[in-house]
Amino acid sequence: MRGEFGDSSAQNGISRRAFLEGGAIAASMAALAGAGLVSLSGCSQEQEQQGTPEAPAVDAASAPSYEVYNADICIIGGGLAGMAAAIKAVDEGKSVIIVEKSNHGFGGAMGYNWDQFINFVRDDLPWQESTDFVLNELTNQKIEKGSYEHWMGEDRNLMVRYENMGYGLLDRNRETGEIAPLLDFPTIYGIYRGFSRHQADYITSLGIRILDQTLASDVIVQDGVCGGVMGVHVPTGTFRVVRAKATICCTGASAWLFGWDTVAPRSINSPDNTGDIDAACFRHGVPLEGSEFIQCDLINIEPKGISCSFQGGIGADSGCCEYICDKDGNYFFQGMDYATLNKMDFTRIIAKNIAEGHGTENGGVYVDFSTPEAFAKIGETYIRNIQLWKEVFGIDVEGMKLECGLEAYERSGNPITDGELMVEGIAGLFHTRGGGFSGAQGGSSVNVAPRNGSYAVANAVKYIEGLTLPALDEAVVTAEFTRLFSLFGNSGGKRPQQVRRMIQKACYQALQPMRMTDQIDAGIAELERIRKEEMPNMTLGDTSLVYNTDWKCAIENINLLDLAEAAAKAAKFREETRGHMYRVDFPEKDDANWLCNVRNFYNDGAITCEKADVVTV
Amino acid sequence: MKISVQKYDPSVDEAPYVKEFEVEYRQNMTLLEALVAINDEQEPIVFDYSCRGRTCGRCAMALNGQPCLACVTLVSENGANEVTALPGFPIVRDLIVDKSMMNDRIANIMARQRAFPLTLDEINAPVDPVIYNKMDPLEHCARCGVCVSACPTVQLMGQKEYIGPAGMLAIGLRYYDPYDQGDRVVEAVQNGLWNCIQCSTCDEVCKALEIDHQVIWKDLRAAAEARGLVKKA
Ligand SMILES: Cc1cc2nc3c(=O)[nH]c(=O)nc-3n(C[C@H](O)[C@H](O)[C@H](O)COP(=O)(O)OP(=O)(O)OC[C@H]3O[C@@H](n4cnc5c(N)ncnc54)[C@H](O)[C@@H]3O)c2cc1C
Ligand code: SF4
Ligand code: SF4
Ligand code: FES
Repeated sequence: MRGEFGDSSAQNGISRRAFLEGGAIAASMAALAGAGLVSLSGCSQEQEQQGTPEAPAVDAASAPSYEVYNADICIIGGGLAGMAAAIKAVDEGKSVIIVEKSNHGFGGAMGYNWDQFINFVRDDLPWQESTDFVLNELTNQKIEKGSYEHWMGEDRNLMVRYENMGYGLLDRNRETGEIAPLLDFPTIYGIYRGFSRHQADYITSLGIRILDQTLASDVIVQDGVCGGVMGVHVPTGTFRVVRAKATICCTGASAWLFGWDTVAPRSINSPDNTGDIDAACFRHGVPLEGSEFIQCDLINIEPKGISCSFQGGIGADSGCCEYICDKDGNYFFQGMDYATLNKMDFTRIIAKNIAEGHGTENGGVYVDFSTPEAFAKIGETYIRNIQLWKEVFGIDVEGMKLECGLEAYERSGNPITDGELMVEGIAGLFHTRGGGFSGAQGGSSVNVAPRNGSYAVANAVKYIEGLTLPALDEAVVTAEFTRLFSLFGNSGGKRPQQVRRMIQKACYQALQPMRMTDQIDAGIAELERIRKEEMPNMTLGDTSLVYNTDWKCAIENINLLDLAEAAAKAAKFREETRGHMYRVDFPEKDDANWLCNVRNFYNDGAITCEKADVVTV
Repeated sequence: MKISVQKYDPSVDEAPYVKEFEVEYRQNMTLLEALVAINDEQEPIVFDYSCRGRTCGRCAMALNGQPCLACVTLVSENGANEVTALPGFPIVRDLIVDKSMMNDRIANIMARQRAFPLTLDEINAPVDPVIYNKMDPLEHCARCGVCVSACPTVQLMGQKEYIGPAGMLAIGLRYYDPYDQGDRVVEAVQNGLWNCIQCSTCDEVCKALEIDHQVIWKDLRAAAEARGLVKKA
């Protein structure tokens, strides 16, 4: 039985359809309801439209429903990459839907309203000379070249681009009102005070269709072709299907798996970014690349509640080198030529010091702000937090030794794509993000994210030309629906939050920048144990369909575990020291053996690693 | 430490109710830490957060009736800790409220009104530093809604009669913005500028410490008055 109704073709050409689906889904729901675990409480939109009264609990005979939306291009994740992708799609005259996990404008790294440093390469600087790579030698050059050349000349001027999206005034001299860039060279320009939430306002003003508060859980793949995405509207528990000719995954870096303090991992990144579609691609057989790499900053680890919060916290960068000391009061950067240290070297030197046993109680170092000279070096973005600390915690940072740790602001590990960002083996699915992209890394920044997002859509537009969407195979929808809703059926296991902490802690053991083989092994063993013992009966403590965060957490855990295990194994596999990390047993960079990428493969739940050549042009 | 949390699942509960918990206190414990501890170790409570540093605005709720951001508000070891959803907004579940109406209005206001795109030369031209220094701090508004919840005028009249401090701040930002060409003074009056009683509650609760709401209100009122856009008695 298939009842179809509610087709409302919106003015912008996007049609929204809703239909009820019987058969297999009803059967699976009946099984769940039989277990007494589902109370299908929120009434779905379709039912509302029909005036069906709200059902207090699911009854085995009632057919569950899902919503179907259609667009030319579906964008998963409305962060910096996703918004640029959406704007490009509109520019190209395509109908577009954004699926966003959080409230529109409040999701992911982008959804923090912070003072961003915007830097961009000028004019026609050749791509090879760009400076925003993290690990140049491992970069997929086809992607970098393509993405770079996608924006040439004036397109590259992010100042003009962003100001025309309604950004406020970029940094100015407070006395003269003159524009005040931090970097102003013939090749590169950089300026503070970019607030990306204005981009979300701009998107709103364009009238783009946004399905927010919707967790995308899997892509629709039929015969190797992607036909859109599926997921759950969190406030109502409604299952949603978005059909599209091309799908662009822009879901950010899954740094949320990097340890746990009291409210967050050792990462400034967002809880929204749990790598759901990365993991989905992985399970569809697409290898991941670069999982072993993370990118770090040095940020306070006490007070715990704002630990690693870039927004409320205080940290240090290489500009503060000489004031950084270990637990024994040894200022280990002094005597180095720290003026030329890049971020990777900076991080690695700290990691080495900690790995060698000089770390603080919480596994960090101190930034010694006890002299006025040191305090004067405090980074631009942290200045506003000095007052906050005084007011909220009664802590005066001026004059103190601040305990800071290495947090992961971005991480790599993405499904491999071709030079045009199309996922290998899944036609019509494009994948990009700001950090950790293109081979081992890609830049991690507010300038790379939009360029890559726009580039992905430019390629998608070419791909969809003349394309018609094949009929939706309802077995695919049923399978995903059942996978998600069957999580309600478990009993007797740990709650998803507890399992999440285990995954995060084990992952940190293996993936921390201080790489010790015994710790890596312990992390891998624990992750394998979690997969075997905890995951099969992970049990929701909440049976409602209304904003069920246990359910959301459980869905994300499946993804986080796959990515964590891939990352831990890749960390073990790479037997050298490179990038932000320091491998104790292999303390040197080893170009003879490791000037290559590491790929993870997924076979029936078994995760393995292999070397892969760097893609060059 | 004792803490009570408001719970509500509109699909099964007739009304919100309160549940008591015992949490192990630590020095400098934030409300967010306490909630995560309960949710991790005891039973599900539904709340939202992201940045842990007063910039995403997602953890807005109330502690002992006072609207606040859970991530930068401390709980009290021996005192009362009564946690409720952000007052004045419809509750979706437990501590989650629906702020979409406020957010949509702010987004609409924030979209810059301009006849023609800005050129690089226009962007590079100096701006009046007085304006810059007034406008710049407003960028830090996280759109959390804490001030809107605490505002007595909103409480009295509702957000339709008075948009509330967050929305008025957005109007102020575009009013100062030298690139914006919309009529923000009319917009301010339309959205209830004269209804604000200038009580400064918004300044007291706002954790974007660089924002001085009263300065914006004064400037907008002066501009409205100069154009005769005052309320007839
Ligand atoms: C705190 C912080 C500060 C930074 N500071 C700077 C800076 O000053 N300058 C700079 O150049 N770079 C900076 N960076 C890096 C830069 O911000 C990021 O590289 C950039 O935001 C990445 O963009 P993105 O689109 O890949 O990810 P995000 O902006 O994080 O967007 C990802 C989006 O996907 C959504 N999403 C995730 N999973 C799903 C799902 N399953 N379903 C639906 N939606 C989903 C999220 O909610 C989010 O909206 C910073 C990063 C962080 C975390
Ligand atoms: S003005 Fe302050 S309290 Fe009000 S929404 Fe903005 S950040 Fe929140
Ligand atoms: S000063 Fe005005 S806006 Fe602020 S809280 Fe008082 S009445 Fe509300
Ligand atoms: S968590 Fe972002 S404001 Fe509190």
